[in-house]
Amino acid sequence: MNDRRLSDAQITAALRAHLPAQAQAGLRGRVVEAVEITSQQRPLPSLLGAFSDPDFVRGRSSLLIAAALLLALALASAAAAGAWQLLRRDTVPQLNLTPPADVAAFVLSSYDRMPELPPMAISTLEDGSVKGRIYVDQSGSVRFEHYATPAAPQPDTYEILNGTTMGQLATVGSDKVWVQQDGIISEDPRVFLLVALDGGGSVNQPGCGLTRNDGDVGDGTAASGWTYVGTESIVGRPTFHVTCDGGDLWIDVQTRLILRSQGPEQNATVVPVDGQSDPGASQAIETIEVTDLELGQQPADLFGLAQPVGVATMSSNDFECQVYPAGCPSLSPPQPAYTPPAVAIQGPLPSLPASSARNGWIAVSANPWNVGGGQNGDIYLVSEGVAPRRIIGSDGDGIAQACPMFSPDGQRLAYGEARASGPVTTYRGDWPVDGRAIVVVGVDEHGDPTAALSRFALPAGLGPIVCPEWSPTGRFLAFSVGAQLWIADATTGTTRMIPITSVTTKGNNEFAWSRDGSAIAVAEPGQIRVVHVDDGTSTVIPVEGAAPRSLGWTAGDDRIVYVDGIEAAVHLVELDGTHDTLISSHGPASAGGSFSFDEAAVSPDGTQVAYLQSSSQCSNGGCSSGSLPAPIVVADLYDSNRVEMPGPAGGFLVSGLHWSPDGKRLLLSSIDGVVSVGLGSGSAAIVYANGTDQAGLNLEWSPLQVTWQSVLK
Amino acid sequence: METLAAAQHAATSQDDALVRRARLGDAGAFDSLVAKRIDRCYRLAWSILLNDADAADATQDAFVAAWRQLPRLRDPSAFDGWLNRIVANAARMLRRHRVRLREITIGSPVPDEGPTASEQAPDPHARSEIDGVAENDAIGRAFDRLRPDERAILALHHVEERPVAEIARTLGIPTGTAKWRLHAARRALERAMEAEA
Repeated sequence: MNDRRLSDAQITAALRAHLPAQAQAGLRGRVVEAVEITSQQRPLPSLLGAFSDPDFVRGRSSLLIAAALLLALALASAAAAGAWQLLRRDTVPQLNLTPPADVAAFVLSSYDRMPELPPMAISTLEDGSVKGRIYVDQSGSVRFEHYATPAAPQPDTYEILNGTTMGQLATVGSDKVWVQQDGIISEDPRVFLLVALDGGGSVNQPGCGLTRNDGDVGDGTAASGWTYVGTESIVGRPTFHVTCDGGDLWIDVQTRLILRSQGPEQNATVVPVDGQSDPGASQAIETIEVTDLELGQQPADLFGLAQPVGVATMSSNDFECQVYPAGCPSLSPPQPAYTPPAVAIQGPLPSLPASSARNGWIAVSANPWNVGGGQNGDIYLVSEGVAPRRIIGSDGDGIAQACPMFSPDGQRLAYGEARASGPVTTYRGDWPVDGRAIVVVGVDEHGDPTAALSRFALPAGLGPIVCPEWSPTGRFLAFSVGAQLWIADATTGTTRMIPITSVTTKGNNEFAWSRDGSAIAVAEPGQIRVVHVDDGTSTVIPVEGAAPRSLGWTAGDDRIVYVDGIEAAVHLVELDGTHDTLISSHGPASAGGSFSFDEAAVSPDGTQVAYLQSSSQCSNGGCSSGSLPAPIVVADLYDSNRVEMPGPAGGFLVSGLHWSPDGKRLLLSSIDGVVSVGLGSGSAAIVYANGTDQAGLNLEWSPLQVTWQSVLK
Repeated sequence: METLAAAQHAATSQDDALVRRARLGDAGAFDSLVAKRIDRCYRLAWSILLNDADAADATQDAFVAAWRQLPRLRDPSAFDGWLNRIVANAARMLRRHRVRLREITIGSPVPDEGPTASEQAPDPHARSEIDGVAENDAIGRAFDRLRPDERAILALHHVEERPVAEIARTLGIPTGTAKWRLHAARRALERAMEAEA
């Protein structure tokens, strides 16, 4: 249909010649000049009151940004001051109560002297209602406690900053969790008292800062706007009352602690990025007052980083996503609970004869890129030498049928279906469709479908189409719906729903049944959840920072293969989270460029991994360096006995990697259609259907493996 | 191979460190990041805007926006995809504002065949480099007739050699969609070539 095919090399060469090789002369200099006069959107104001913010992590992040800027100065100041003096509770040394001649220097000393603070315990009251307790020990460790009410005997939440580690007891929903992060405190933990005590007092105006590096204002104006008001007593201690642009501070003359802060409501200047509002911006605190201050050694057990009994641990990533979803692109809002209709079975399961098909069918669903018009989105069966035959759906039916999946016995076909009133996008994760359901039909020996055997209705309303996976026994179907993993009994119609962490606001989580059917691995942001099918409990394999997908269980169900979508690489990890190993090796150096690995598939016997390797220079069937195209790789676990096979001749848009049931061929979709490639040399690719213009086919190989080998010879 | 991988890893780590420093306000570190990327970003902007003046403005706007927003970037390793996204957005914004009002630096040769280009003629300096290579010239003209997003994805893939996963992040779409759009853009280019013929 298109006789003007262009090779990748042609396109690359032409575009390289066509597009400018370099930026305009002088542009870099213009950028540098513009950057020099541009302030970064540093969320400094939101660190104020961060410790009373339910989102302590966000506040902590803000503080760390600020504190990092100030660290060098603070440490230099601390060194100059020498060892701090231990203060005794019953002795207040002679203090000079002469109003400070240099008010700015006095205000700045509030921050500078934080690393000199002696052991103490402080009680605070925010806006007259929120009680806090702060403990400081001799080594500099700090404990911040937050009480639900002033009369509460026990803290509701707390943070312990000990050395470089922060542990915190936090609230997520109605549950308490323990979050511990190592290496995130890079300065003396006592400097965080400034944040806890400076409520509304310091305002976000030039000259009203408490530190020399006054945000974007510059050193010269730091604290220069503060003026002395008077000498006043707070909790029996002399303080200098200072003011700046409507904000007031009472600074302890001896320790330089801020004992009271009061000011106009903060108008946080955090500028929303990408349209996201900053949830901390409206949580300004007007006053913080110290109501009690006791100098002296504090109990050591207050500062121990120990997980409280009966409290679950949560990773810092998860916690941050929970309390600050706007900063976590992969988290979707919680979905309301949904109870499926009680009767999902539409008819009795017929007793089907064993299939006598000579060749295993391959079921294919073309992308339903225009459901409203009825184009595509139907299910076809294909096999070598036989024209593709549509078995489910019809033109103009307004229904998309996708993700066909043969049951292990080959007698049933499950698929997802949905409707849409208008054109929808092509990627299955994005279909904003309604009328979603999982449907099971029988398939006879000719590949002809029966009427629906079961139909599992999904929540009303728009959402991505849902793709089912059969359990190895063929009794259950699992599918991922938002923040739930559903396990449906295909024989009784009963359904269980297990909460999971949704991977995206658009698509559904990828998952994989274990070989023995006892567990399901679910890809979640930064972790792989292993759901135990019998009791619905789950354990988590942390893969911090990764976006796992393409999950597969190895033989013995003891390890899981996954592709990290962030680094585009294949990994193998033990179920206990140990030995997370990169197993996709980069291709031959002669191929050049950078490599990415987008899909992996574990062999039917669980001993080999196939993955698609693409080189940036060779990815589309031609290499700009004139060398090797991107091959399909099959290797033992840990990448030994590596075999590379050339990909489909078209080489472009290769995806949908599947193993044949006999483990001797690999099935792919490409612009050439459905392609099977034999393992080993000399085994030609076989094209089952011309898939031109139907790229992105969803494939499923029927498990009728007995006749595969003979037919392919 | 190990050397190549090690070098790539070292470069990545070094860039991550620069991003971290720039995130804390180190303008020098940011300049180092700019130096390595300015040509690529400029080409991406040019592929959307098709002229030097606008591409330079969009690139400058994008880098300044990146500098301002950098403290909000959580993952240093995501910097490139994030930056490309800002560049593409800046170019799209500028294009919206300057449709029909585009400055043309020099009197450019206008394609003398085929349908009227919906965009302005390609830049003359690029044209001179491929002078005499008819096929490249035709592909270039066909490229100019594509939609801006089609041009951007082709440039990212074929010229900048960015991985599909990163292109997906740049455009804010799933990897599968990025592959599809790449495919569609390529087919559009081929159809535009047919129109050239």
